[in-house]
Amino acid sequence: MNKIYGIDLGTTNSCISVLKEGRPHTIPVDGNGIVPSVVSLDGTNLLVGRKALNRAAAFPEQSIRSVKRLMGTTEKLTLGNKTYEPEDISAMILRYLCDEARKIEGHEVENVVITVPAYFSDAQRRATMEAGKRAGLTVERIINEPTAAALFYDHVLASDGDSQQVLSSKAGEHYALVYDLGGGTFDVSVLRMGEIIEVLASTGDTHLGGDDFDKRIVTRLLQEIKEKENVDLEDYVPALARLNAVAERAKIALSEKASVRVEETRIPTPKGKSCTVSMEFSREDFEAMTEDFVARTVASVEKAMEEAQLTPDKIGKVLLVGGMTRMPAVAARLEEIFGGARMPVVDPDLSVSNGASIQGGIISGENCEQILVDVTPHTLSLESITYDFRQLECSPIIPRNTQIPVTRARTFSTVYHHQRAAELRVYQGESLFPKENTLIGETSLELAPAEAHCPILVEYSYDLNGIVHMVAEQKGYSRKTELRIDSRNPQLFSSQGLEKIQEDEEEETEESPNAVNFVTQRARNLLSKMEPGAKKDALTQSLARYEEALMDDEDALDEVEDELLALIEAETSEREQEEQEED
Amino acid sequence: MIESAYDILHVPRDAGPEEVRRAYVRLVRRYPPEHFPEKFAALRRAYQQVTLSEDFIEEMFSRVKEDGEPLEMAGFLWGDRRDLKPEKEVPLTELVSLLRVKNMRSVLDGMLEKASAEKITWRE
Repeated sequence: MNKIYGIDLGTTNSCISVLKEGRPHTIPVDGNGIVPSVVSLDGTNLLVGRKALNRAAAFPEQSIRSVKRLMGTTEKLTLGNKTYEPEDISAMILRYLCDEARKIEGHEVENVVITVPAYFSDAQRRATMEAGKRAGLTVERIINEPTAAALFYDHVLASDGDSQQVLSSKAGEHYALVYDLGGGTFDVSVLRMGEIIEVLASTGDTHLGGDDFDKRIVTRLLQEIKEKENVDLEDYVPALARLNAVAERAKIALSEKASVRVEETRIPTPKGKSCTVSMEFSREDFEAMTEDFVARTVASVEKAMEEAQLTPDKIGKVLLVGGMTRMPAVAARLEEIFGGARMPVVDPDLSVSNGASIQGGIISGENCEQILVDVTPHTLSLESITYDFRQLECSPIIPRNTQIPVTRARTFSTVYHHQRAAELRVYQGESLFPKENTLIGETSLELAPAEAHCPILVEYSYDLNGIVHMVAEQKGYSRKTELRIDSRNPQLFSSQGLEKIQEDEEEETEESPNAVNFVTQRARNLLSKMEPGAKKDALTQSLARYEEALMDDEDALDEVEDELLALIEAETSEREQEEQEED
Repeated sequence: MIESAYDILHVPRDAGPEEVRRAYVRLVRRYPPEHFPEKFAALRRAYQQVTLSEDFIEEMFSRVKEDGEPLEMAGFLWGDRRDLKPEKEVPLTELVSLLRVKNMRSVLDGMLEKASAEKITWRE
């Protein structure tokens, strides 16, 4: 299998990482590996990354930034005389990352894991998947950013944390909270970490990030200019781009210094004459300006803790991810809740893409030691009518924070005698009312003539990629319909009849071929580390029997698999104990 | 079917929470969701059944006593709106988990009988 690269496709910056000998490495694209998520048009050339960022300050109308905020919308973007969809712009960034990575690494980058905010909706995930496709990549998985960060942190703990810490964390399980405040999105996840990593709750805000903090400074600057120079620049793009860049620099400086002076001359104005602005910002000013944003993130933290049914004292570690967590007020606020001792140092910029590369290793079988269990970020429900006919409601089938992959079914019933069809609408969201949630797919089930209250079983499946699959069946009449809401398939609403389903079922095998790959891969990984001897021979033989059973003896497969897994586990735990004794 | 949750986890019926948790973690490491989605789902289902809190079971049982049957109001499909009455629906996990409490056995046996005769339906 090809190497699977991990990509953090961020609002302001993006990164690409890959596993090398089991350790994640960020590929130093654009120097330090942190690539601005900016696309700019220079004549007929499209620039991406640092070069584009440099151009964007001077030519904002020929540049696109923060496209991630538009993912999942149908907004059109113009560059030169062409229009693009948000997916196209993201695809350019992905393509740039992969091309540069190829130049550095010396081999083709085709298979990738892309991270998205945990709170991204189905449409936003689908758009991200589509961007990967348009960049000519095989998107192996879309994973959640806080989960990726936790994977990376767990890896760091396991590989080079001091041994005492490793032992204490591995022996018992502990809870961790990931606070991820990036350029455009905010996420918070609560995880249980130990021998397996389980996400317990995930929440956030897809429209809250560093950009919003910048805007508050820009607003102050605009006011100042209006008062002093009597020009209104609120809708003048070239000036706004300049002020945005200035504001971002000021914000970053305020994380280090108590106050900062903004001096910007020759700001373009619509009348041709340029103007100047000079203002002093203190850290307190800035914190007061953005207090409401921090309060919003804290509310999300509390919500996540409540959903995980934990109190702050139960949280062993708080991981800070995303550039905005460098703001002292953010750290201070979290310290108030959790205490500073529980906030280990992790790289806020690189941990997400590094974590994505670890997930890549899990998929390819290269990394067999970390086991991850993630959750659904939104509730999936079916529209139904209440008993009193007063209103339509969303009846949850898969509640949020359910561990994935998952299949859940619920029985509904028909309303009247000889009902011809049932309309099935799949919604995503937390509200009871359909109009407040997002419709993600619909189909109808043709019914056989039957009494009223005829049961209809509706089953939803949510797989590891966040793809929703629905099957509805009229009980006792074998009428069936199926709806695949597939993020890899841009055809949003597609329904299939019974015949088509049967064909598909024949094509699909029950367990993925990866399952096979995983067991043999684990055995081979272990064999390569073992000294020759009786144990190695036993494992080799068991592996051979397993591979033989895979080929032609399905009956014996379970038994042989159990035997092989037992050998692997015995050997692995023995090795772990030896390592601990050495430490 | 009814005994399976404990069997799937390979723990005795009187296993304590820590023992159940250890067994579950060990099995998830063996059958990670990434590579064994179906086996993982079965493990998790079993784990959830076995770890349901006593309070929850108490509450379920009081509902059984009041209504004769645990009733989960099922919604109706969007369609024409004429006469209707609620469909009885019992989540299967709850049904099975209720069996842990010995003195409630007789009530539940009755319910299971009805369920098997398809007088009531269940969901996973």
